[in-house]
Order: sequence, then structure tokens, then C-alpha cells
Amino acid sequence: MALIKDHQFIEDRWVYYEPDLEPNDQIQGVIFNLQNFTACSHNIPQSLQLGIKLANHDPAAAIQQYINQLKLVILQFPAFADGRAYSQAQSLRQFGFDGEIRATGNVLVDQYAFMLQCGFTSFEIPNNTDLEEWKNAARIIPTTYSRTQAKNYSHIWNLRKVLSS
Amino acid sequence: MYRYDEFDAEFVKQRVDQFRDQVQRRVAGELTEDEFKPLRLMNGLYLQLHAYMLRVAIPYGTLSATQMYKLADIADKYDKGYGHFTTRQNIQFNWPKLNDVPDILEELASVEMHAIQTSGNCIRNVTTDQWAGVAADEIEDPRPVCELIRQWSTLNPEFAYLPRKFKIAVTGSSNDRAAVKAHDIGIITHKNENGDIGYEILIGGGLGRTPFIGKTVKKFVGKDRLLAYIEAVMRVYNLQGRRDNKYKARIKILTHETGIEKLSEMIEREFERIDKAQGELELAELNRIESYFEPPQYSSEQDDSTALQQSLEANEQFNYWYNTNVAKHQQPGYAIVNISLKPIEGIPGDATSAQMRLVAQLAEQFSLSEIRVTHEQNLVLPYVKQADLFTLWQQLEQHDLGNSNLGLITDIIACPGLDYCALATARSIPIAQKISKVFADRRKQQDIGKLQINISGCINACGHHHVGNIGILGLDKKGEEYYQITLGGNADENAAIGKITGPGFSKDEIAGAVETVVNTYIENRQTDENFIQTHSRIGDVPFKEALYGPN
Amino acid sequence: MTTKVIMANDLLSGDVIFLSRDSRSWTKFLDQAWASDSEQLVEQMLAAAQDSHMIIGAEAIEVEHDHTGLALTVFREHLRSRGPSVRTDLGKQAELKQAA
Repeated sequence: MALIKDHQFIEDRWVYYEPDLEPNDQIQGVIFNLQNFTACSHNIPQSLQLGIKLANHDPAAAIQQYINQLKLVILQFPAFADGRAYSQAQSLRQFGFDGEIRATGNVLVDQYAFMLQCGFTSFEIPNNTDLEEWKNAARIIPTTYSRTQAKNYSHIWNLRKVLSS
Repeated sequence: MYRYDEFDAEFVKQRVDQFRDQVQRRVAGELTEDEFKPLRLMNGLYLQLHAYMLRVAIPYGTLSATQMYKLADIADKYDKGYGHFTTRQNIQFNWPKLNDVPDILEELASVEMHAIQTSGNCIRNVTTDQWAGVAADEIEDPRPVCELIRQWSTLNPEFAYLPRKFKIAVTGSSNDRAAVKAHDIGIITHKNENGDIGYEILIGGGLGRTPFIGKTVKKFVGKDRLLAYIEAVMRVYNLQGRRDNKYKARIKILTHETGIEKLSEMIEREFERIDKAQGELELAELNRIESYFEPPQYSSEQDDSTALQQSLEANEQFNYWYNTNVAKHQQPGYAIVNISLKPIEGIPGDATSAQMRLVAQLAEQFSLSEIRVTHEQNLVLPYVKQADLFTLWQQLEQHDLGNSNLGLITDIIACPGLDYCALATARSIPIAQKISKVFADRRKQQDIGKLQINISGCINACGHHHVGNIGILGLDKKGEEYYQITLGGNADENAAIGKITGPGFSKDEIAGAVETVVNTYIENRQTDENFIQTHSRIGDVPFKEALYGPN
Repeated sequence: MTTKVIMANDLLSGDVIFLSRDSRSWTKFLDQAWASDSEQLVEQMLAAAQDSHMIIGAEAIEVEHDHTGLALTVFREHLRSRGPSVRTDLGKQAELKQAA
């Protein structure tokens, strides 16, 4: 799998937590699950960033208190039609989380715009993906009628308000 | 009515382009059917028993004459010359070709229509009272709130992949003509003691294989917090609703399994988290939308009702139609005209392109170019001068649209059933046809009075049989169609789920069984009692005995 | 031993179609359909149909032989092969009537 951000491939420098993890220059941060985060995250050297992979049944509110320590939250799409992660992402943004929200699982181009609008910023997709398609998918409908977390989408009600004032 | 501005127009156009691209990718083999299916469904395109079916949204059942002309043109150009009005105030075309669908959507966009979210596990077309804005008993015109919800829910990224489909209905009157208690979210308009308007929210209503009447989860929420509350309900449902079994995935099951009190606490917590500042933007938008729904310039000339009285006295048929199909208007001198799409032995809800054009033309001539579609699968001309009623009726009569049976036993609600639907287990339409034949006599219908029959061709209950006074459910028993009867259902403010009488009937027996039920009512009724009143007084037993014999 | 045909919908038109006797092309009419008693052959044909991206919802459907030829045994499939019973002027039944 490859990782993209702003429709570009980027290097994934995050690793999953293991008890005997050896830090090195290549590692940006360590990903925990909700259970081992509370138990083990303090064992990690200060130089490494912290991330959490939330299960779909984990409430976003469960990590609200750690939001300032976190740089990455990974949310999961077990199937593209399972939309729980959209609500988890919206909640995290509403709590004020401004780090990376990564989509993993059945992440497809046809849901890309929805994910961006809900606050996802990085995406795990197959290696040989044509990114031109993803770029187009992101831009085909650049407006929305509901809350958007991505600044390159415009809320139509805001546009109207601006126009009428 | 609401008109698109440049943002709405551009949005819908981009959506058409997106779908055109998806169709091309599907045809080129770049998308598999499994990947394409949810995309086409979210654009209203189903694969049915014989062909594709395109379901076009008619937001809260309001149509302009121009839009109706366009629907007629689409029926002729891309389909087989007719359309089917549904119990969700939508229209379905039964024979479109895949490659034509982007063109159809483009034509719809040219008259400010779309098919977005008429299927799929998302928020569906919001429905309301077909007499919105003209009903004499109205607290507030519900259409601005409906339009606000329509926009907010359209391609709402967070709620595009819910556990299951989600239906919202709004009523602006205490007399509920929108069946709000049978919806995932029902919204009832109230005015409090300060004269402020707010909304009662019900959740967990729904029909299908496990019917529930909605429960009140919030007694009163103000205009500036309405969307926030709906958002809170949706978020809790999106996260907590069951995804392991599609038959248990609706919010009614979550409500039932969690309990309304616990669920309302969860919703309230989420509601409190939602930024109150966003209410300002919503209120500004609601105000903008409301300006489109200002009452029209009613004619100020004093209507002379003597002409109407004379026609009523002179023409018995017109008199009869007037008494069944015309309803009281807010504005003196005006009337609400209901056009029944239920001719005797006809197909409930079907209209030919010629009929659509006629209704459009009559709307232009007599009803400020506006038409409504009802969840009972009929049409409404909401702004007719009383003085025009006789002329209007004559034209309707000439085109087989003068059926005088609104709210009567032959005004049957029926889903398409196994004649069209891939999910159906039995046919619905032929049963409706047989029953309407049995009760064809006008005097007989009038004598029976108000009686709603609903027919569904499978347990998914698109014909809303659970809330029919007499409900009929078509099933498959070892390859044979057979039909269960439920009694006592009701879709209005006294919503109730009907109870099954007992063993089902074959397709040849069912119309006779309905006749037995009706005769039992007639034998037992007291003066002025309608069917549902008699049924609630005497209960199921006399009906069961009549159907199956004593014990 | 049961006889089966391969029934599906055409991606572009949405029409109900059957694998034809030549076992390569598709036909709208049951009387031109390929049919077989061999479970193995049916499975083979079904798999091939499911692989084609221009065909959707391919299924192997039971038929019986009556005096007119092949007949579908399930009422639903019978309706599918003909058209809506309440609009006999539409669907394949109308085309068949015209051809007759």
C-alpha cells in the first residue's frame, strides 16, 4: 500500500507500537491502539510523535483528552459502504484536533471528496494508483451544503451570505 | 416555490458530470458492478425486474408546471410514455437505458431537478404535507424547513454511508398528512406560549418487516438549532446503528434495542457538542429560503360563489367530485383541488405523458403554475379559484382525471409490486385493480366513506400496508402469491400499526375478503362512524369471525 | 436432473437476457436460450457470464420443457421473461406479440 496526501504520494514514516521498538531517524512517530496508548505511550522517546488507530466502535470522545498530544489518528473503512469513520473524523475536528487523519481500509476514489470534507488528510491506497483520477475526484464538486473541514471546499450558505452582504 | 440560484444549479450540474464519468468508467470496464452499484443508486438508478428504473426526487412533493412538462418529455423521449408517482412523493421511470441516464439527469437539471439520494443508505427525499402553504389548519408552511433539510442532506459527506436508508418527514399542521410517525425522523411544528415556532422531533418510526411508530425524543427545538439536533441524531445513528444485519439496521431497531431514554441522552450529549454559532448561518439560510415561499398574490376581486353554487346544483357529478376531491383553502375564494390518479381498475399512481402535460397546463391556467404530489400517489393543484372549479373539472373529466374518490376505498395506495420490482414477492397492482372494480359503484364508495387501503408486494412495505386502515401484504407461499390482511392501521396523527387478521388469501380470494371486512364494518357501524372508528370500537373479533368463521 | 438457462441483465439496456444457443451471444427471448442438464456446463457458462463486464446479475435459472419449448418454473422469472402483467403492451410480451 502507498500513502497519499494532497493527491501526492508521500513516505509513510509511522510505525505501529511494539514493546521492543528501537527508534531511529527514519521513524516519525508511533501508532497505538486505544488500549496500549494509555499503558505504553509514555515509554516512547520524546523525539517521536504519537498516533492512535481507532476502531470503528471506539468513540471519538475517548481520545478527546489526548488530542493535544496526538499528531495522527487513523480511522478505518472495513468496507467503503461502512461510513462510521466519517462521523469519527467530524467529531475529532470538532474537538479541535488539527493533526493528520488517515483513512485506511477500503478507501476508493469515489468516496475521496467525502473523506476530504469530513477532515481526512491522508489516505492509504494501492501502490499503482493513477493519482490524476483522485485529483479530479476531489475537484469535481467543489461546493457543499454541509459542514466541511477542508478549506478548498466552499460551503454554499457561506458563499450566499458573502454575496448578499 | 423554491428556485435554484447559481450555486444550486452549478452543484447539480457538476453532479451530473460526475455521474456521466462514472457511467463511462463502468461501461469501459474500469468500475466493477459492485463498485458502480452504490454510485448509481445514489443517483436514483435501480436495476429492477425488467429493466433499469430511475427514481427522480420531487422535493417535498412540490412541482412547477415547467417541471411537469419536462417529466412528460422525459417519459416520451427516454421511456415508454408514462411515469409512476410513489409513496415518497417521487416519480419513477421504468425503462431508461444506462447510457441515457446522464442525459436524463442533465435535462432534469435544466428544470432544477435531480435524482440525488433517491436510493442508497443515505438521507432520502424529505417529504411533507401535500397541502403545505395552503392548508387551512396550518401553523407554519413546512416547505422552508424541508428545503433547508434537502440542501443540508444533499451529498452530506458524513451521512452518505449510513447503516441503512433514512427518511425524514415534516408536518406544519397538527393534522398529520405526512405520516411523520412512520419515519426515521418525524418533525412536528408547534407554536409555544411565547408565540415562537419550534419543532418536536420523533425518531424510530418506520414500516418494513418490523414496524414501529416514532417516539418523541425532543419536545421543542428552536429554528436555529433544528439542523444541529438532526445532525446529532444522525451522528449517533451512524455510529451506533447496526451494520451486521440489514434488516436490523434502521434507526427504529436502534431505538427499540437501546431504549428511547438512553438514546435521547446520547443524542443530547452530541447535540450539546455541536457548535451553536453554526445556527446563525442556518437561520440566515432558512430566512433566505422562506422568502421563496411567501404566499402568492391572491386575487382580491370578491368571488361570486353563486356561479359555483349553481354548477354544484346543476351537475350531480361535479357536485360529487367537489365534495370528495376539493379541500378547504387558507384563502377565502380559493380551493385545493386533488387530482386522483386512481381510476377504477387503473394502476395507482401511474400517469401518462399526456396526463402530465394536461396537469401542467391546468396548473398554468388555474393554479399559479404549481402542482403537488401526495404520498397517497395523487396530484394536487393548490391554488385554484373557486370560480374556476367547474371549468377545471370539465377538463379533468375529459382526460380521465376526474376520478371522484379521494380518501375513499378505491383511492388505494399500492407499491409497484412484482410487476416491476426486483424485491417483491407478489403483485400489488392487480389486487388494487380487483378491489377497485368490486367497489366501483360511486354510491357504494360514498356510503362506505373514508377508508384507506394500502397494498405492499413484499415485507419492505413500500405500500405502507401497516398503516392502512385495511392493509394488504403480498407474499410468496411455495411459488403462489398470497395476501395477508391487517386491520386498524392509521398513518395520521393517531398513527397505529395494523394487526394481522389470520391466514392469508389467494390472489383470487383477496378482493372478496376485503369485501367481507367492509360488509362487517357496514353491519356494525353506528351513525356517522367511519371504518377506523368502528374498528377501534368493536375490535378485530367480528372481522376475524366474518373472514374465518367463529373461532 | 434439472435443466437450467443462464439469465441476466444487459448492462446498457437493462433488458433481461438469456445466454443464446450458440453459448456465446445473448438473446432477449427464452425460446432462443441455451439450456443444459449438465451441472458442470451450467456452472462453466455462469462463471463466464459473471466475468463479462457488460452483463449483470447472471444467474442459472431452472426451466422445464413443455409443449412450446422451454418454460420458466418460478412465477417471478416468468414475469421477468415477459414484462409487467398489468401492461401487456410493454416488455418482451409486446415484442413477442408483434413478431407473432
